[in-house]
Amino acid sequence: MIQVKNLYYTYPGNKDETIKGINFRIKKGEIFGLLGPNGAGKSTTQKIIIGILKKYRGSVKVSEIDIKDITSSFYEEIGVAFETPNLFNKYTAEENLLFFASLYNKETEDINSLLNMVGLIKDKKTRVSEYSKGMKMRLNFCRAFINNPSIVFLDEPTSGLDPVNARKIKDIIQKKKEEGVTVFLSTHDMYVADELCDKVGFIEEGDIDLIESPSKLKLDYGLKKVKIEYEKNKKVEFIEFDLNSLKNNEKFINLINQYKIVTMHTEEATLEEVFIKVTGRNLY
Amino acid sequence: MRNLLNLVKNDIKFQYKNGFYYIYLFIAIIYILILCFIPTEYKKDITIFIVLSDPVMLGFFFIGAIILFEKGDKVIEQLFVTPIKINQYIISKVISLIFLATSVGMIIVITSNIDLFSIILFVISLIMISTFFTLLGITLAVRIDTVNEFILFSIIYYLLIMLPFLDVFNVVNSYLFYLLPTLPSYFLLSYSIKGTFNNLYIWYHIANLLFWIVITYIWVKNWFYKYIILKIGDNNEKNI
Repeated sequence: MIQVKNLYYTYPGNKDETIKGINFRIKKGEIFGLLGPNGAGKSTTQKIIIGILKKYRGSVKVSEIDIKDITSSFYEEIGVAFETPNLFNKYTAEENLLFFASLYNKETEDINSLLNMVGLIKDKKTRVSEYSKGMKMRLNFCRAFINNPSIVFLDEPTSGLDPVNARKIKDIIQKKKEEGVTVFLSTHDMYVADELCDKVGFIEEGDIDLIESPSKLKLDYGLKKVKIEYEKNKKVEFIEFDLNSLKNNEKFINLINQYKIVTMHTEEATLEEVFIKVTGRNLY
Repeated sequence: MRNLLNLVKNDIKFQYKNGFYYIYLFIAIIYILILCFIPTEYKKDITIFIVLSDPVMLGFFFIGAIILFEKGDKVIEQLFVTPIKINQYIISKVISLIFLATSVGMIIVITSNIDLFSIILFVISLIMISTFFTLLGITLAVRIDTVNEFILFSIIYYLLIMLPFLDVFNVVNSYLFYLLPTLPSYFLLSYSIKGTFNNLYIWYHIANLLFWIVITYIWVKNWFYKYIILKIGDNNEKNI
């Protein structure tokens, strides 16, 4: 669906390259997360793929079409939600969606069902200026789906949302994936990426160091150990065992037979830890 | 075409919702009141200046405010990830303001009982002047982010625009002033209201304004791409 080969980009007037030869491929119906701190090149990469930045080197294809050859009809097929809400504040939610829907030639999504999807149907006649930040984010998010896009680009989609609404947004993204929508996610939130993405790419200083599925990364970079918390003499104690020799480890077998187990966790790495190990930089 | 029509409709709605029409109505009433108190023998001369300042005010200052409001809402960048083209965005803004400037210009001359020499030339002049100053306003508006910046730079623009009047008032005389679009705007309105004109001059002034409209349109497109499109998706944290 999206294919990026040897992509280089330098902003006009800059000497240094912002994007330094990145490669990746996203299949149809896949959620791809581009993970990196601010300034790593996430937004620039996204801007090239959506056809805004033109003078790049390398090849970028979306649905087999070279981005250099796109026309305005390309935008009939993609949806974009930026990190900060881009809405007419003096308009109601309904007026905002109606206006943006009027810009497409294809049939657009029903506005009420979009608002319902993000829990804003009751507030559709309310001016956006009276919305909280979270409500604006949800409206901004649902607008990305107004043209029934086959690819959506989401920039920090859960930023500024409470846990309940963040859950709702993540569920919608999963549902859209099941419907065959390809999702390009830019984020520095490793929890969102971990939960949603089929693959993540670590971008740092304009270069992608690694592309892999979050579960494989966590296992590959984690410790092969299990940590057990157990109750002994009314106190909680813990012990770690090597995962590979668990089956024949007598101490482990005695422990689970003898004591009440409080928790038991394998020690896989978090995505943030993997990122730091791979790039040598923090995500924030 | 459908997109352009929807954009124009939205621009009119945006201007209305942000109170621009009320401000403009207020300004128009003041103009009409001023003309009511002007003796008949000076009325046509004053009308030329008032009608000239009208599209300048609308085109230049209103477009600045409109784009600043849109920048504040961050909606411009969202428009360009839809099938909208830069041309359509610019033309829509120009059409919405031409419509207003021409209507108000007509209302001013009608309510003030001004006997126009040529209504057609008057309307053509208003459309061309309004187009030029709206485009000029966009060149400034795309570059600045605050009202203070806009006020500061608009004073500089305004002084440059007004400079050729030094010739009209015989302070400094130079043919070079006639290369700029200010005097052609003034003379076109003057001919359409007072009727003392020479055909050759009219064609020169129309050609001059057309030339400046084309130049400014190219300028707007370049700066729009540089200062708006290239910055799409950047947020306050300056993501790159």
